[in-house]
Amino acid sequence: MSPAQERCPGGGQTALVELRGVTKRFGQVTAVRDLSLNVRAGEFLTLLGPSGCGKTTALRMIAGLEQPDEGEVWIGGRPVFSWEQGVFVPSGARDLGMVFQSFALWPHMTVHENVAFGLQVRRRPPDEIAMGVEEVLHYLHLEGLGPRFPHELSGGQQQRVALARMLVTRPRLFLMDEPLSNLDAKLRTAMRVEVKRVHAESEATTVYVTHDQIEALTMSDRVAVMRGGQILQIGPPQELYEKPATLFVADFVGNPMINLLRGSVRAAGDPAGLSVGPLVIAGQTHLAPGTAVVVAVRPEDWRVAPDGAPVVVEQVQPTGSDVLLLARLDRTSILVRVPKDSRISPGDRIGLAVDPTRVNVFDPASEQAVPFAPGPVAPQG
Amino acid sequence: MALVSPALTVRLHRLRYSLSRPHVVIGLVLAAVLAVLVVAPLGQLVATTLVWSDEDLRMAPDATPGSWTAYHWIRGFASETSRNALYLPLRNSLVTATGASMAALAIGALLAWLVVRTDLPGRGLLQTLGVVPYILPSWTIALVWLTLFRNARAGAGVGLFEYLTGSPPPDWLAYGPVPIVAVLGLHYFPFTFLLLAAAMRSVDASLEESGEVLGARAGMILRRITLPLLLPALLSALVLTLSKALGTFGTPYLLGLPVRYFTLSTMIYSNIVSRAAAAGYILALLLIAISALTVYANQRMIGARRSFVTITGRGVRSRTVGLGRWRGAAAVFAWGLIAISVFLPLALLVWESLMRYSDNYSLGNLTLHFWVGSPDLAIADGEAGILRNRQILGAAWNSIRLSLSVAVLSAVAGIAVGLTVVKGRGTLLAKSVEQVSFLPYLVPSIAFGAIYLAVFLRSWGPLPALYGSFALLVMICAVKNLPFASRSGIAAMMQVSGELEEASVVLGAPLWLRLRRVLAPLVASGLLSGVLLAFISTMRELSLIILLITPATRTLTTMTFRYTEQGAPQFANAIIVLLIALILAGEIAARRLEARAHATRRSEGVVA
Repeated sequence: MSPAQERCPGGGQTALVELRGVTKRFGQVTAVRDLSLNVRAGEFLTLLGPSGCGKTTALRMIAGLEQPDEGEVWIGGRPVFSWEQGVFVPSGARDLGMVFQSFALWPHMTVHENVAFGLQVRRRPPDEIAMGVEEVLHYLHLEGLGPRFPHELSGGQQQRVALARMLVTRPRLFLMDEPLSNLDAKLRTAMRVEVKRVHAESEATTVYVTHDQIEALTMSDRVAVMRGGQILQIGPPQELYEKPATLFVADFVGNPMINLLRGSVRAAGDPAGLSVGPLVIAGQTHLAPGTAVVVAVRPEDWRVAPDGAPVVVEQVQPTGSDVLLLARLDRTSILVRVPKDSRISPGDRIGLAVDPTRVNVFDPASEQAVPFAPGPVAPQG
Repeated sequence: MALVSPALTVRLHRLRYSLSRPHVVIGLVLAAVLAVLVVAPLGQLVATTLVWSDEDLRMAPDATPGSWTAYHWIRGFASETSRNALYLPLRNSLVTATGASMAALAIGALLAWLVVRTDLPGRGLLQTLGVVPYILPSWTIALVWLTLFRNARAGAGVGLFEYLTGSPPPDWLAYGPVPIVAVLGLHYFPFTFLLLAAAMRSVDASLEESGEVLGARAGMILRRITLPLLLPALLSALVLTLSKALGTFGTPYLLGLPVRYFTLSTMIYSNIVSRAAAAGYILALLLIAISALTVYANQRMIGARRSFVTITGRGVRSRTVGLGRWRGAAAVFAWGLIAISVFLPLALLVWESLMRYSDNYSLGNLTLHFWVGSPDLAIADGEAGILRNRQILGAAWNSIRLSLSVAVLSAVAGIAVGLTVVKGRGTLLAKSVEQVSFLPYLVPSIAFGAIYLAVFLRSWGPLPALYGSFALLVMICAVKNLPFASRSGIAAMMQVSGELEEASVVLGAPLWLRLRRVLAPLVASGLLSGVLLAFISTMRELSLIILLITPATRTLTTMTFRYTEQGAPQFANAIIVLLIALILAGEIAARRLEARAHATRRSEGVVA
């Protein structure tokens, strides 16, 4: 079977980019460890993780800017890098475009020259270059800025020029390395829309690197969460948010942060469920009674219920759209999101309950998710 | 491929991949060139001191030329001649170099502080003028000292001091360690000034203010905050000055020889001209060892501190100290310093170049003969004025083409080293190229000249006997300048490689196109100062080439030197003035070029 026809597990679509068992070391540090990844043709895939997790290195190996120490890189069903086969396709021949974190616009060239460069390298005729540049500048709302130099542009305009430079050669693969991290918060929201539009209106595949989980969740078809040079979990944003596979993913994805509560499996005599201090969550696990677990509850999954577990409100933080409470459940601090019209003040004692279908349970030792079959909401003991 | 094991296949592929990368190829070529021009000559020098030569037959009739011997080393370090031939020059070198460095450090540091951190009047102008003494050839001030304090010993007419007061200045004031230290101090203070002024500017006022808010007094802030932050700059200025002062030849020769005050550098010269080469080479090795030791000590002392000087994009705010009633005194110091290290030398040089007789400073004695006169047997053995003298014009042309060639080579070498080191970061090749390109820094100029003399007198390896050729001068100047060229090359490449270059890699631009369209335009202005430095230092180079010059390859510097030796100070001074004019012209041309490049490109640094 030729790799071009190879099917991705679970995906059923052709892989445009494949990393096969890729390892990359820098001196003593292993940046990427035996990483395998399929990027499906046409999808928007984000590599998400904290700094130093290997996401940028992985992207740069796809781009051909770094070479793996072990493993292979495939693009479009063909190897582009392999020590075993002696294949080294240089970056420029991989038919891809890239946007860099710093934008990397050449300061000594005008906007027009910056964008035209890729076409000049490909030795297109001058009139075709002029037309191509005009077209892409128009597409990104940069008409008339061609003669300007990068330092004469605003941050958002510079970002668009970087996108234009990537688009002008019409590559089949877009690579973006934290492209929005140099913009202020407001502009970032606007550019998210722009980047998503550029992806949607092209037929290209996008691999996007970010440490910002909002960017990852809002833009991607699939997100791969990375740590220590490995992928912990890969899937659609909603799946990552609702069914995190490990404690790290649960903790890293979502803002405000998820509540990670120390609890245990209830004793054999009690109704089946988990106890977190006074809080009881009904359901079944395969774990023995008394086993320690970590229960993860999103702040918005709490429900104020007079018969719920008693908590003391310590701080009230209105965010505008809703209200965040910092409260104390037993001896643990928790975050609770309540509607903006809730009349709760610091010092109040309230009862909280949680929907058992919304919680995730983890083994504190392995940090892996533990299967949990939610039961009916149990009355509070 | 069944015969080849998979592991071997991978290895072959890795090798093939490495060799397909342009910066690896450039690095390999560079490594080969450096091995031939830097590493091998050092080895050759050592070997020469351990082998009997034909010249030795005079002193040791039973020697077999070509066979190994420790004779030279024993004679150098432990014989009845050692005291005068080695230990005294060694002491003198250490005394003058240390004294000159201390003087330069004190003057430079004070001037830097006054210019950067106080309300001294005319700071902007001082900033510019404070660099000028270093642009002047190193022995300019020595010549001026002679003009002032020469006595009958020099045999070229009396100096201005004796002319005005009627009594000859004492020998200790005219010649020997005192004038050498004073002259070198005045010549080398710009290093300290430049390095320290830059470091002081980079210390943000908030660092000191944080100390103040915590209740520290001024003295404590200086001792605990400011000085430690400036220490790396201070130490590198010290080491730079020390190694330059150890290797300098012109000044100790002019001011030391009349009283037979030898330093290692002048002793090397006299050994080699008196055909005792091996003895000279041993002194050269000693000089290299001392120089290497200071650099090593500096690196040990600075160690991790190097990282203190942080360069951020943020603007740095400096605090200005009001001098109050000390303002007048400080102004007198600063402007007096510039007067005696810049204006006075230039004025005296011009004046003396116009004097018919070299001991008469009156107006009536002035003549343009030494500049434009036609040959007249009554004056200076019938030599024509320098602007009509074929030999001198030839030497001027030699100086110019030498300096331009070295400047161009330095730019090329700088880019090549920058590419190899920055793009190959972490590889053995990059590390060795970086280290070896720094080696010439450790070798004092006069010793470097001695090495090349030892090596290139005969045909050597793939190279013909280059002694006496112009190419040899270009080679030695370019190699000696390599540490500076590669530093600026590496710094410039660091700034632009990374994402700016990668953006063009991703678009498929081959290396030559990246160099031409992206790297070269971006590093140009950073590299220009390195190129200018190469031009200037080659224009006024003497110590490095004095041993390698032949009548066909004379430069202006060696001509002044010859005229001073012959007791014709007017010619010597006129040539120096011409040389300074050419250096300034070069400097102005370079600045113009830079300004034009800026105007057309309108680039304001790297947009991040």
